[in-house]
Amino acid sequence: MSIKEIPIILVCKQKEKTYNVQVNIESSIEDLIIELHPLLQPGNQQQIVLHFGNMILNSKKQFKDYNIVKGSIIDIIIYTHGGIFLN
Amino acid sequence: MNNKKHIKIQEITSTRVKTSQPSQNRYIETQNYNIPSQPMKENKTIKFLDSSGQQGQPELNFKTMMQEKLSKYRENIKKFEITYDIKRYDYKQNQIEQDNHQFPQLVTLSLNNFLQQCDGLIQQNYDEILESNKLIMKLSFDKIEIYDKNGNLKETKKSFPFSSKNQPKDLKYNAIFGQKDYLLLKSTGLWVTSNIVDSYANYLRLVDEDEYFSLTVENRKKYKRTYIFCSDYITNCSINTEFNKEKCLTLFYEQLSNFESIQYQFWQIYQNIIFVVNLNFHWFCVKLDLENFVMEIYDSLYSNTTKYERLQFLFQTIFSEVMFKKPKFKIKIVMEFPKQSDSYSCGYFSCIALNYLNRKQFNLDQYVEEEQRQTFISKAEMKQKLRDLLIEDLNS
Repeated sequence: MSIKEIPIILVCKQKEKTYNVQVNIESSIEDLIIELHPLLQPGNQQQIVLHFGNMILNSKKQFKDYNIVKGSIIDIIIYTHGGIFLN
Repeated sequence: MNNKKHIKIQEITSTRVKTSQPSQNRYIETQNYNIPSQPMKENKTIKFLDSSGQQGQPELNFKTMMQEKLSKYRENIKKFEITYDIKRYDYKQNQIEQDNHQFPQLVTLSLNNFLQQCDGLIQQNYDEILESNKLIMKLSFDKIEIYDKNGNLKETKKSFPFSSKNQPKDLKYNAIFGQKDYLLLKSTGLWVTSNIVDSYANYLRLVDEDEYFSLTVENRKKYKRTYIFCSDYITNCSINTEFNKEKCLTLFYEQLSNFESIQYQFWQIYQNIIFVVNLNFHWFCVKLDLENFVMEIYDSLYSNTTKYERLQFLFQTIFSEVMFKKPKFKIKIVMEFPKQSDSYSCGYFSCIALNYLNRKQFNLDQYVEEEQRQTFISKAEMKQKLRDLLIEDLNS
């Protein structure tokens, strides 16, 4: 594991799931979100975003842009849309 | 640049798979799942790991993680009988003229402008929280200072971690905003996203903080500060599927981690407590009255109280732990709240409720407050406010 690669923990509280992930600090947040899609399978009306310390992570940025270190816990939030279902 | 290589992703059962040679090129999700999804994945920079592959790392498990966190949070609650006093100070009393305060006309300002306006104006007023006459917390605009037993500054936190200047254009009040959201606010008939509702909630929290610390000591005493739980709290509790008490409590404490030194008794500071709710893809707001244990429901599609019983159970569970009482919340549906006539605009109506509940606090006079009760802004006005607030930069 190079010094650029750090293990982090992802937690999806809504689905009660946790993942150990090794990321390169130069990879983008979006890369990780893409990887999470097949695992969490968000619906058409949902969007995966990542939070670190109550701060949303900008998908265009890299991990090194945030104070994310070895063992940091990142929350996976599945953002939702809302209206009503018509029966 | 193609820097990708094969990574094998293997689905496993809920029991952790033991392998003789754990591979770092595999991930193991530590919770239950049954259906294989993607048998192969490619990405060099992101690797899902088998937790057994990390030496010295505890086994990863959501339930254990929640239990451990919860017991840590509970360690901070020891003596409920402790009373906390709030002392309010004006930095330069003679310069503050806030007797005729109005709801600030800031809804058309961007976050950067908002912070520039706030800079140097109101951050000097502050409140001190005392435990047995000892300073334990100091609150000022967007700043929380925590003091140790000897009165030494232990930690300084931002009240709003997302409020730093020079945020990228697509990040608004801790929500990602893009062309899709812009189009959504421009169109009609589309469901409102949590990006929109939660960012408006965060914006109102900033407005409330701004307004409160702009007031004189006397007016601050009368002011009921607003604390809004964004939709992710109730969504993450997933009360519709099953009720996991430990999870709901842990997430609640997590939200309130800034108030650890006052045993999470955030209602000592905030009296106007609002939850943004997305339940079954429908938005509404709940205001909690912790003095009389009433849940005020602001729902543009109310039906009967049964709809809110899961929420009632959730609030009873969490507040019976943090308040050392067994509160029985009454459900009060606010009948004068406007009703939606379509199938998409509940999100806008939730913002109308947030706007109304926040605005009410600016009218310290009870008479004015009663008058205000009838003034919910229209959906069109709300939509315009959201456009001005959230997508102005995309227009420029």
